[in-house]
Amino acid sequence: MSKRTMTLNLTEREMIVLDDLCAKKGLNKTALLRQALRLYQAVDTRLEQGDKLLFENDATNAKAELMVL
Amino acid sequence: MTANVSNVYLVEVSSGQLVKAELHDAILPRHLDHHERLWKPLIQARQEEHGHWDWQSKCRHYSAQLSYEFLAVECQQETQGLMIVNTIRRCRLPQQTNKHLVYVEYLEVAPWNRPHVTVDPKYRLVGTVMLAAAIQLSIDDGNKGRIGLHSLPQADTFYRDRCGMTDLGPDASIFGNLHYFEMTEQQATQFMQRS
Repeated sequence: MSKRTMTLNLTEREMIVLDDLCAKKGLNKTALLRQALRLYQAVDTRLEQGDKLLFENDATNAKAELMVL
Repeated sequence: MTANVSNVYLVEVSSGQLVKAELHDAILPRHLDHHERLWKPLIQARQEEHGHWDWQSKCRHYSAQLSYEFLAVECQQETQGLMIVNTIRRCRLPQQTNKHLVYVEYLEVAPWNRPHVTVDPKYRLVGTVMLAAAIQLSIDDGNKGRIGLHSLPQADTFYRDRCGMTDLGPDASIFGNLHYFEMTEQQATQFMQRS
């Protein structure tokens, strides 16, 4: 696929989070943001279909619904 | 729709020679047409497990989602293999738990290339080429070649013995208790060196 370039302006806090996530996941900024966009679209599609996004903790058996705007 | 095309090589079994083939980063209408007209009659005649796979509806369903990528292998104007991968799944192997990988949702090789369908297969290496493409996608995404998949029973030995993937055993959460296989960065490097 052909690729396009854009400039992204982030606050210092956002850049710190981006850097931290990149280090944690071993990804560069482009790869991490592409991954985030795919995931955001997948979640949004499921929510539009009426699904809920839940987090479940095996240890405590607790379930929490994540509210996605 | 247009696709980027890379050259890949298959083995033509009748001559034993390497032949040039094309790897497309999209499943085009002509690939779906080949599946419908050329593959399906052979697959349905043998009542294969995956005979119900409908690539047209799969492509329609997944094409709007960025998390899915599509690949097709074409040789001598015929589609030899089709694959859909998911790029937002995560690893299960303890040494790479929670890291991203490329998950092979569907991979199908043309029936005339599969040794358990015909005693006289046309091309070899179609599955290997597609798996190598999945590994390359994983590398391009920064995921270092990590891939995962659920295997149909007849392909278990291919993924375990020929591809060197780790067999995590039957997955009770999947219909048919299919075995889940995962490839680490090291296994991917070894696979690419062999291929």
